[in-house]
Amino acid sequence: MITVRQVREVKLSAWQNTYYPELWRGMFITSKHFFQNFGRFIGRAVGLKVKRPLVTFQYPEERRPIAPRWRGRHRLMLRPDGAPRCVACMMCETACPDKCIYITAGEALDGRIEKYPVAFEIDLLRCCFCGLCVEACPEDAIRMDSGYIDLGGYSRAEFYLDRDYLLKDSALTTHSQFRGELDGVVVTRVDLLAQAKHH
Amino acid sequence: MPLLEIDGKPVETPAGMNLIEAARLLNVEIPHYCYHAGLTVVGSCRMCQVEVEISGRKSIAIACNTKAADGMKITTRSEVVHKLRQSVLEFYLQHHPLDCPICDDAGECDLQNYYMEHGLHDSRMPLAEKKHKHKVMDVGPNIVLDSERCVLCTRCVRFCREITGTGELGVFGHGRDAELLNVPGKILDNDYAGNVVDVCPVGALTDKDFRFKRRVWYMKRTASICTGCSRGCNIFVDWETDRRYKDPQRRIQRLKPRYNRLVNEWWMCDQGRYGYHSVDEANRLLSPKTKSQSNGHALSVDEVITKIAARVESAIEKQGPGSVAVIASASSSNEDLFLLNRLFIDKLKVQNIDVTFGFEAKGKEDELLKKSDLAPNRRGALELQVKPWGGEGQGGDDLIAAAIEGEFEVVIVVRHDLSTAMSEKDFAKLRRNTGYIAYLSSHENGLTEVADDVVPIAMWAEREATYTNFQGRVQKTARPFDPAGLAIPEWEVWKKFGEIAGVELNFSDVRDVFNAIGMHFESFKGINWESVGSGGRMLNGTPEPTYKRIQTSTPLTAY
Repeated sequence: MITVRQVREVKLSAWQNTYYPELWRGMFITSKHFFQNFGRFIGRAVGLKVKRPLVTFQYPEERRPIAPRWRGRHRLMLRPDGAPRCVACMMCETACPDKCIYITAGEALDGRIEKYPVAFEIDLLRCCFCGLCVEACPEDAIRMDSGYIDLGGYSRAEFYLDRDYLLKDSALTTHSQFRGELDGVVVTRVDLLAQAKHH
Repeated sequence: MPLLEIDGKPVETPAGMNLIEAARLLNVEIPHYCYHAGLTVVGSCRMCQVEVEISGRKSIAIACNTKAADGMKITTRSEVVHKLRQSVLEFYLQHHPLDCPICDDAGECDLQNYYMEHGLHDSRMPLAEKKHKHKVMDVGPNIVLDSERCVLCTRCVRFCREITGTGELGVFGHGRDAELLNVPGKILDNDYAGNVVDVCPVGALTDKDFRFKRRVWYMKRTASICTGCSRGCNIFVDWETDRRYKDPQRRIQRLKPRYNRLVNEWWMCDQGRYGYHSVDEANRLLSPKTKSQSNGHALSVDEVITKIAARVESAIEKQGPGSVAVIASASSSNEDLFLLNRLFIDKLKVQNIDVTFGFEAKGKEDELLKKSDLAPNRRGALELQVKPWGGEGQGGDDLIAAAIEGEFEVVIVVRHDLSTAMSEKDFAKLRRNTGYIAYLSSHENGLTEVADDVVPIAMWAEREATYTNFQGRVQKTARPFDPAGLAIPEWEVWKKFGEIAGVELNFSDVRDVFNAIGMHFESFKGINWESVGSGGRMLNGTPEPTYKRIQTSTPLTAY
């Protein structure tokens, strides 16, 4: 049975209806944080052991350091001869709790490993970045990249990663750079790791 | 009747039964590779070793070649047995490529299964010293051999020598060079070649048709029967519909034979095995078709059936039941034919019905499984008396001839593609001379093009049904998935037809229809849906056939 709970509308008094008390209260909270943070900067500058102040990053020109353990978007690894390591065994597809990996296997007749992925697609919008695919892979073919966090796009289709995209050496390229939308910012993984260590 | 003890449990077995089968009576599995109940015992894999204690003396014996004897005490699980199996497995894995990720058998592989239980999980064999053999060998039109994966159990060799008598495979070489290969000059191309994949306990022999299509753990398994010929082999339908992106036109992944001692034992023919492709063919008929005006909106199946019923009724009213002919099919199930009988013969008094025609395709008959009659339910049609036309000396062909000559105003065709059954001239004549042709079809063909109204009907894997095979055995098909498009089972067409024509056919589902057959036909009396078990049930008055091993009369000598 559905129980219905009636919620009475809150009636404001005439004084409350002027909104002045709430306006001032809001101003007070904002100013409190501003001066608090300001005080922390000054405190740090004079050598006091106060809490770390909050910093605004000018994203995307300026980037926040990422923890070394961060793992983001997937990539597929290559063998030394340039063929994908993936043998389309479907282990990642089976392990995936979100069912966001779609592999179609094909038969290679060129004398290499006989089974290879004809299509390997990941729907990032469904992915929960749990990393089970990486763990399940018997060939170390799928990895998740560290070092960048920006997964942006203007359409759903951009989050549907296909095999060729995943096979690109994506370690040094950010998502948006690959799409050719944000030029001029090159942050290498080494840099990011160094930054992360520094902090 | 020897009385023995297996793992402390007493069991009485028939005389001459070996220990693997005896253990199966207690649901104890003794691991084995080379033993197969349908083939001779060679005792080469040594995997089935168990401890046997007889009159106080303990020894090790292979279970496959040891007959159960009175007073035996068998231990299938002990330290000693475990050690033995571990050693045997280590030997098999010595040169095994361990390419389970790309092996189609992974998931149903005995090597994997037994290794999980008994394996020595740390290989003592250096990787560089592994012996490499041939991979991806084309041994026949349907079969791929990977001899690195082979454990040399010779099941496939024995199958080809004993069951089909063709002997295409053999083991060549000695020691670690021993390899399964084609016998020189022979390719594995017989009508039962697909069975070697089923008997192979590992992934050495794989099916080209199934190769890399799905992993086995994705598939669901439904027990059904093959409707490829009048034998009705018992099968498993392995199907998968979740991953449509892999191959949208493929709901059934493969068919596997299901053991039935008196029908097909462990085997099935390749024609049946690969015949499932027609279920998802590109030319499946997905929606009804009509030649008359449909007011521009999408046509529903009910509307088309209404049109057919109205046309049949008006023809009977004006010219009598003699103006209607039904070219029925022995490929229809018992339920379809029963309702056809009730509707046309009983109620509408239409007598121009037949199911046997000269144009029907004839298959190749052999001494194993294949029957020349490709209609799965001719016996059922006979029992359900859907063959009253013409009397002495006349048959379906005369009905067709009469239809061509224009003797009927309305012709209803079930399943048969008449455009390929007769000459082009005759077909055009039939079309010209007949006022109205209604057609029930699962596929688009020449007749769907010219028929007035066409109803799409479901195929065997899309509906539940029973079929009566040539022995008189009633067997069930299952319904793993829904019909393609707007197709409906044939019996539903007749039910809806009956509703419109004012004939009461109050059946809620196909089981109801089947259970009602017994009320009208003596041979079906007392047989209901539940009593048709997984192995089928014989018709009343038809005795079970005597058991005859399915085997060629000219087997090659034991391997």
